[in-house]
Amino acid sequence: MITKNIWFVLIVLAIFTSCKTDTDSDSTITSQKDYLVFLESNNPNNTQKEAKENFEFWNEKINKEPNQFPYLGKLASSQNALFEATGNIENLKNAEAYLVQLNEKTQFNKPSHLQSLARVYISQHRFLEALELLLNAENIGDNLEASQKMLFDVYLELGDSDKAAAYLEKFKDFSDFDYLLRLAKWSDHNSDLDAAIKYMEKATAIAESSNLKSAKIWSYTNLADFYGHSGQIDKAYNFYLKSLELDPDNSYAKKGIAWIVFSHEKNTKEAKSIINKILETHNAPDYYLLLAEIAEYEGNEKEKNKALDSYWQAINNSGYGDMYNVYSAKLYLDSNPEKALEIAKREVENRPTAMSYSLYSHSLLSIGQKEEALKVLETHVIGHTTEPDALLTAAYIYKANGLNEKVKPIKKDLLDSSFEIGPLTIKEVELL
Amino acid sequence: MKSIKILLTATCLSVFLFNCSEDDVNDRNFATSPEGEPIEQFDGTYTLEDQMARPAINTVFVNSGSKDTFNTTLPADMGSAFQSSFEAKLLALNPGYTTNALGLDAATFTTVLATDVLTVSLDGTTTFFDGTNVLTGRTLADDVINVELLLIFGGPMGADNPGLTNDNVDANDKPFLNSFPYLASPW
Amino acid sequence: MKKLKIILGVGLLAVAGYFTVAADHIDAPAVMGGSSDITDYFAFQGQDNNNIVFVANVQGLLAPGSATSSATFDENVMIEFNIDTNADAVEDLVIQAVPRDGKMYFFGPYQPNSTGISSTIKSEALATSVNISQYGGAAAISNSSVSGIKAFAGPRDDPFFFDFAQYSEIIAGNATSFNNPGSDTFAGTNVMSIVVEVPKALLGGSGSINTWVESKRK
Repeated sequence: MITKNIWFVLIVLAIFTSCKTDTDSDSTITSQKDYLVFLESNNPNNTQKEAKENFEFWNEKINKEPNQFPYLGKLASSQNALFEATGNIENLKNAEAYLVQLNEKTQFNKPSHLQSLARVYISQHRFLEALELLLNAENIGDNLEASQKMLFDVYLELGDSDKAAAYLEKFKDFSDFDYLLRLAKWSDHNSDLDAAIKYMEKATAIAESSNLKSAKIWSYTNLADFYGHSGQIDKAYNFYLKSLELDPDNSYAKKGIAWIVFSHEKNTKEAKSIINKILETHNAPDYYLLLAEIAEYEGNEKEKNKALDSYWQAINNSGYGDMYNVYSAKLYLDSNPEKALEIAKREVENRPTAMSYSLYSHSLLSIGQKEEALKVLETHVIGHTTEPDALLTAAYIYKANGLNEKVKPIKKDLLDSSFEIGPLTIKEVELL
Repeated sequence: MKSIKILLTATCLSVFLFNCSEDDVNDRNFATSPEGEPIEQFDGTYTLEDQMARPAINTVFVNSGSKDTFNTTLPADMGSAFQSSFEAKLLALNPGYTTNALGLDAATFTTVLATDVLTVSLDGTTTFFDGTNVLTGRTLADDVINVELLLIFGGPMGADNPGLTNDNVDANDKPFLNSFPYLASPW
Repeated sequence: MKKLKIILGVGLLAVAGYFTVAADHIDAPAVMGGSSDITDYFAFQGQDNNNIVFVANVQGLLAPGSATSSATFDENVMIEFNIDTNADAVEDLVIQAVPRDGKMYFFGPYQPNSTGISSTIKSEALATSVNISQYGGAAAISNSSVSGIKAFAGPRDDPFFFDFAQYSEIIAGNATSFNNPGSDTFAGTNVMSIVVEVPKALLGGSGSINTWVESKRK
């Protein structure tokens, strides 16, 4: 009996390690021939062309009939689509301006218009303003379920898990796409990645049976993210490709592929080439950070600094507001820790999430307050999130406080998330 | 040891394949239509999300905060649920309302409106209102908004509140077709 | 501290990591609704006086061009034409239109399995199906010789005409009368339309019916 058990354990172990070796090997998942066609299709960018065409139609109409305020909503959606296609922040600000006008025209008493404006605020990380609009919309009562769904989103962003959970319960419906994707988000928030994937797969099945292109694209990219999150990189890759088949201009999916090429395959040259290709049509500051990260991994200081300069230049646009605060704060951790602390404090005030506290504790460490950092970490971060980024911060803080025995399990977890955190960070984890 | 290795490889391979497989393609059973064309199975339960009969009733008469409810209340239950709020709304819109061109007082008129169904004659002219026939259907060309405005604001002779009884948009911007599918081709 | 700095120096730029961005991406998920909103409903005698035509429109204010050509019916949503033949506002017959893979399938008119909020489909009640018309192409029309039912589904000019903006201004107390001339809010825009023409004989033959249209989601 004992022998049998031992054999069983051994076999299980053997299977486990053998499988592990399989997936951890340098097996190449991506292939240029799968995605090159989508990179080339960048010119001309169809999504952008269509959004522009839409905008021009409604703009001409409202110029002729300035009192037709319903057109303002249409103008806003076309500007929002342009923002998604180009990354140009001006388009998002234009959408906001149209929606403010629309809500003024309707005395801020039409829930669907309030929701549209809230959505634009969420995109800009202006969660408190979104919250106020959504609570008004909820109070008015029409289109109630959409208000509740968005209130869940906002409360989750604001770190109010209790309220988020209460709203999630209000629109519980396992056949509803919107509910399932939020349940997936919620499961991920609670570090239950298996459940998150399960519900996102269910939501995807509904999107597929609805056969609505936008819902399918959205589902595929998010499902791909979750797969990547759980280390199922081949599946992530396939779903990015699936979304590109529907929308060859989808820069988000292209970026996901670039990350696989960099993080899993360590092919820095190809990853950079994909990102540079995306940048030809979609201009968002985060690409420069990715380029900087890759350059640093290559040890190319000059290229890294160039990419960073581009980042600072790109966000030097008041339109971005708080959107890139967290990224910038992380960059300041070393060069200007006081500034990082200042941003982190504001983040904690605006969004008291575990991730905000993680940033706050990290900036405390950077200014040399390691005990205070530890206090914040243990009160607000540990036990509240298992995001690798927060774990890494935790490891630094424990280490700085001489708590090496606490670093060990974190190090192991982080090494297991190697795909997600990327090869540059892994170098650092290995030094822990 | 060798056999175990082979076994293990097989296990891993199947795990891998399982992980990699795309969502199973739904096997759809096919039935046959009256014309002999193969059709798919249409199973599942469909649940009410929105409904409509007469134009603009929800927009005009349903109070904000009740629009979701109105959209999912069965017509047979609408009268008791909405008549009184419709009447209050009518009198708020037109405080001077006595009767309208159909000779209906506020209670009677809103009783008709609150049960939101469109009555259609199978015996002849179908129109929202053509000067002679009233509420026997709705054609594409009917200026339904003017009819509703007239009945709400126009008073017994249709002459009251002249600024409110005609939106001065009297026809579609593209001619309708005389034959199926009747609606004009898209812009 | 110095050592820490050195350690930090390595991964300092690892701020653009994979899921950090992904979490942002998931920040503002779409609310799916809208694909089931009915914008308009018509019922009238057809060109052939023996028939009644039902028209249901969804997804209003579509701009010409790509906004119209990329508009599709949600395949989880059924459009149900309800017909009450005995004046009790309860449906005695239904015509159900269900899109799938580029076609619109029409069932009925038939007596539904149950009335009210929930509906199922009797597959045997299939009357006809029609290819969903493509924007810019000719209208695809099915004309079933067996059931006598004609069907269409796809983009059309929005047949509604109304100065919705000025009406709203009046209701909001910002204006006291309509403009002359008015401005047709829906001019030059398209809708997704479902048109079905049915022999009166299948609806009771004579007298009056009450009808309304519903969108129902699977």
